Amino acid sequence: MKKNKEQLLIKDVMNEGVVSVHPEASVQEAKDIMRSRGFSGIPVIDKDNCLLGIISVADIIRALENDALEALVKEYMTSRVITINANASVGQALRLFHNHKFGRFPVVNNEGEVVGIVTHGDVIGRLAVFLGIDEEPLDEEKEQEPINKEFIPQIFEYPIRALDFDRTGEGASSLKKILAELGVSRDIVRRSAIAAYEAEINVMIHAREGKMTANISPQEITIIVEDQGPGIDNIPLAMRKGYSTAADKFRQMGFGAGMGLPNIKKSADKLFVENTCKGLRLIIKIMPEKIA
Amino acid sequence: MQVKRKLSEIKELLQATSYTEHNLEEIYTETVCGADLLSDVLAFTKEKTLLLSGLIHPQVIRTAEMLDLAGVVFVRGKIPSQEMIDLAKTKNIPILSTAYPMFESCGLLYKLGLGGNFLEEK
Ligand SMILES: Nc1ncnc2c1ncn2[C@@H]1O[C@H](COP(=O)(O)OP(=O)(O)O)[C@@H](O)[C@H]1O
Ligand SMILES: [Mg+2]
Repeated sequence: MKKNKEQLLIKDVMNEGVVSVHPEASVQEAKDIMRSRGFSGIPVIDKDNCLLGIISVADIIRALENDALEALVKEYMTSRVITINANASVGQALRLFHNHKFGRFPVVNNEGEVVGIVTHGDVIGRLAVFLGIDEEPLDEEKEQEPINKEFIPQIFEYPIRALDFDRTGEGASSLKKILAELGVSRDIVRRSAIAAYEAEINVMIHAREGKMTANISPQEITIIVEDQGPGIDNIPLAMRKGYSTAADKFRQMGFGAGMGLPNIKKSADKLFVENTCKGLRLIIKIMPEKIA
Repeated sequence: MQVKRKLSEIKELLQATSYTEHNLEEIYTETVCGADLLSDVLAFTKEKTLLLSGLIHPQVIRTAEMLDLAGVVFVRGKIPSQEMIDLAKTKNIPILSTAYPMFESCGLLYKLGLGGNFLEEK
């Protein structure tokens, strides 16, 4: 991808080398780390580098009120964490900060591993330097930087909720709409929608709860569907046409023919299926410019 | 050569009821697919196809949405719920209902000159 050099990405402004705490550590330990490093929140990461939550000053105060500094971090952390991709733009980060009251977001790579942390101050500070507004007042004579009018990489995130069968498919539907609005060709929109929908249906049928994330650039659409489910023991077997462990009630709805994963593979240019510490992860890549 | 048919003609032939506000005079289809297996529909159906189905739940409409189908006809007198009608309106998918069972519905449309569709698997 021809990256516009004027575009500032999260990976350019984030703090690498994350200070984290283990879920089994005590709240006291978390509090000490936060005090010595001067942080008001740190990510909770287990030995598999899986992000489980974030523990903040507010969580520590709750523990203090309960006189529970000996309790485990995992009992007091906030487990619904909103993450941002390292390749997101700072504009997207600003929107996240605006929409959520959190002061910091863990930064993840395409594999979902935590690679850094970004605070509101980091973004604003670096943005000021980047725009030159921390040095000198804007001079009307000065040449204005051209605004990037190109297709900006878009990040999109959608939760797939437990037992919400009627809403399943909303993630794929939103993705389809965004792609169409971005002017992506019909065939690519359709292939992306089918792959995303089948993946969403699988979370619903086989795992129940999960999340869909999409990274959209003109050269590549990456759809990541992660769930908190049992994962798959034998992935090559699950990829075979006709292999299914779906419950009868889903078969009666017209699913569970063992054709979902093969159809995702057919619709995608690349498909990676892997077990994570929490469940299953599908990484679906569709390349608009690839000539079939 | 396959013929194109307006959904309004199909509605009349199947004595169907329409549940959305689409102008069926302006929507055309040349292929029809009769299926109760959504997995099959998702794997093999071309866009602009009319789906006939005996299944009646919101995922039928979502399937039609993902594939850009021309519309859905629920056969054997199945009536969509208000929730399904609202979803179909939001997703811009015409939905109809006919008293004819699947076989008769398909037969009538086949006689009208409409074809099936089968996308060769890669
Ligand atoms: N998200 C998931 N979590 C756990 N198992 C899964 C998941 N997705 C697929 N599987 C397993 O892989 C099998 C094949 O999946 P798929 O080809 O989509 O067929 P189907 O969903 O119709 O069963 C499933 O029956 C299930 O055993
Ligand atoms: Mg499936």
